[in-house]
Amino acid sequence: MEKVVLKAKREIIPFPELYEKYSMDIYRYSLSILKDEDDAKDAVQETFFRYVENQKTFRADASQKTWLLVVARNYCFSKLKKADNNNDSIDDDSFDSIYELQLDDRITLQDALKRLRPEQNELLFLKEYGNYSYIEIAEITGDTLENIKIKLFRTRQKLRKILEGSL
Amino acid sequence: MEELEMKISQLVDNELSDTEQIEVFGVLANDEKARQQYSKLLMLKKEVSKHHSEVRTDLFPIKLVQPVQELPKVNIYKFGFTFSSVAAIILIMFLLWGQNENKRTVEQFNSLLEKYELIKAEKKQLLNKHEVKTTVLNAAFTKKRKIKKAVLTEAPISVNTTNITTNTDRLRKFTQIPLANNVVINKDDFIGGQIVSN
Repeated sequence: MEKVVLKAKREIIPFPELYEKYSMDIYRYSLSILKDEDDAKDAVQETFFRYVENQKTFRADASQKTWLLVVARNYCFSKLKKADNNNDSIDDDSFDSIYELQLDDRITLQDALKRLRPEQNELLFLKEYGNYSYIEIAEITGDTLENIKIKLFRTRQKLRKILEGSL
Repeated sequence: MEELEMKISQLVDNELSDTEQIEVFGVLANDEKARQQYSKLLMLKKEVSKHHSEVRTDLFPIKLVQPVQELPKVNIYKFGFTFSSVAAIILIMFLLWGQNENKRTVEQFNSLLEKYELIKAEKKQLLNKHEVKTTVLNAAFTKKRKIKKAVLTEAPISVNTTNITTNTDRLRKFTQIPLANNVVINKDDFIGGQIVSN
């Protein structure tokens, strides 16, 4: 499957405005992946720093927001990867079991979201909060359109099951 | 069944084509379970969206963060090239100017040397003239001194009174005849620097 790339030329927003406009979204997005406020703040800083560094080479092929999201995504997943390496990598079962210990009689949406994998949280954030289309999500994540459809469907299934208490 | 669930998920995301939408709505109209699933997914979508928008923004001091200003666009290579070219031109100018300066200095030195030689010769001439003058003067001076000395060392001067017999004659002689021929000045006539007459 071919990866989706949007090539429409877009207007470039000056940096101060760009920061005001998108920093909060980048923060929320990073938080949905990292689940840690401080790490998410670091991700925002790093994202905008990289933007300033690569501003000259930035081509308006994709929107600036998409570019920022991709940078933030790369930063977040590399951070998670480093953390995984340091913790001798946590497999699926142990990941779930950590949160099972915190389960109360009534599970909240926040807890349920915590039990999802970072990639799943990311998809939910982009679709439910960001209102991005499948094509845009595919562009940000670097995945195929078909994969996005399936992954999003499975994520919702899993979330529902967690909330219904069947997982 | 899973295919239908997936279609419902896409319907919630508004990602179905018109024909697909009609198809799914047809199924939903007849299937209670599918309708429940659809409403649950809609609820979930709403809740997740709400959850993300309720993120505590006060934790992120966005106002305190000073936005980084755009860096000035300076082409470092262009600047470097211009700077080095200008520096090279200046160095070449200095080099040429230095060579001219050397030539000029040598010319100046030669002319000064010539002048010095001329002045030296002139000085020599003047010195020779002066030497001649001094010798002449010295000679004159010694002659004068000799004469004076000779006068001073002559035998005691005595007044020749042989021809003068009386005082009247003496007076007449003084008035009529030049004194120098008749009066001899003695050494004793000098008092200080003046001659005291008898």
